[in-house]
Amino acid sequence: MNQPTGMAVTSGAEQSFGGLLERIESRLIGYLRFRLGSGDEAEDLFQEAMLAAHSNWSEVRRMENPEAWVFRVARNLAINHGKRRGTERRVLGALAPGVAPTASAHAEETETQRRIQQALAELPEPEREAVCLKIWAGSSWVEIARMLQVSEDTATRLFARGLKAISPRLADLAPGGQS
Amino acid sequence: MTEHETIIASHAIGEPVAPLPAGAEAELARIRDLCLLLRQSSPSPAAGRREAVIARVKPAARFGWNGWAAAAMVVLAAGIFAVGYFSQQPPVAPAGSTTAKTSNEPLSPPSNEPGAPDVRPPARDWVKEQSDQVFAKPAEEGSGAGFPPPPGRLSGGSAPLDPQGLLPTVLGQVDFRALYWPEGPGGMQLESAKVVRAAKSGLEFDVVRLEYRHRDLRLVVIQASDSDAAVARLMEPEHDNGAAVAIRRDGVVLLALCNSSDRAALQAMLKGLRPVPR
Repeated sequence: MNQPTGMAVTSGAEQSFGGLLERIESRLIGYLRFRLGSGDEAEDLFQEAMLAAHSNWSEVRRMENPEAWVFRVARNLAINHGKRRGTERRVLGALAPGVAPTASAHAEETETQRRIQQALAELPEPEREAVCLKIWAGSSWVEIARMLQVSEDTATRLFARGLKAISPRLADLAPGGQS
Repeated sequence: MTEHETIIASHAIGEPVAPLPAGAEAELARIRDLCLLLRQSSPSPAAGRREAVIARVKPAARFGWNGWAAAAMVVLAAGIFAVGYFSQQPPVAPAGSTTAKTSNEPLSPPSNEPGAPDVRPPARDWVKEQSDQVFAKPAEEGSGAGFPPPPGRLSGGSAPLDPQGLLPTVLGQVDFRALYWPEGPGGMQLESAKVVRAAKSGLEFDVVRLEYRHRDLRLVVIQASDSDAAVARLMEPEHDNGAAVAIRRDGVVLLALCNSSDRAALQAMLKGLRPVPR
């Protein structure tokens, strides 16, 4: 993937933070985008998650896996955001039916991203979360199980079930799908 | 759902949980392609995205905050407050006296109209009350007690805690009265008090933002039940800084306080504000 060069930063801590930012950017944005179904909201929460990492940098930089911490923060932000968005939609829907924002409003996404987004949106929440955490966050089965509050076996099954469900819908997009 | 498909998926992601069943190669290839497609669909790094994050955190990082720097800033802030505070303090008056002025102890600097009685409190008593009474035992909810106004400055035993009607006295589990300065440190005037939201680790907190002014010195105090939330609030762009104690480029002193460690630090700071006997 085309990665830009490092940030113009000066201090050691800042370089480390910049390094984390560089390593995690695409995956975190991808996770949030497909988790939320919105590119704009993903950008907002990406910044919030990274600011949280910076605010807690003295602890985060000593962590064995700071990326996992950032993804947990991002997931919490996404959950809170989802709740808030649900309330907004209910209120807006009550005030003016049809005015409530939709997840497909983002215009910049590619056709592939839109199809994946649609396929994931139809999955039950635990399956979608398991797929997103595994594919984009790179979370271990243990981490996914902890976040979803299920056993590791169940986490694996949720992931497999999610893949199986979206596979037919995306078969033509996969590298060997059209042959 | 079968165990078979779980094994295929685990192989596809490169973390097999069991040996691949015989004859499952084609299915594995299909799921592996799907995983590849999903991974490749991640948005590419966007121009300016990382720079935007760095821009939001850089002011704090540029200062290189660490324990020593923060401690130095506390000392500096305490010094600023002390100068402002003692520059306006009258001499110590007898207990219960409504006037502190005596014939041989002129006020410096005089802040009242010529001839008017000075009703400001003895500096030593006020500091002691603040540090010993308020921080030692938080006020009971709804009691109207809390950080007491300097005796004599506000008439009546229970002066309004929120003269502007903006500051809640109790928010969630936090009694903000314990940190509420009716006049601010160093005799600073409270200009505004409002509740704002702060986000930290995916949770949102209500924090109280107080702004004081004394001549050209402005002080913003963010009070929260969690010091990180208070600091997170300081990270907002308009503050242009982020630290427990910071001085903004335009000279505004920022303080982030909570009701645990930061309050203890503040308590220590207040206890350090002892007037020098004249």
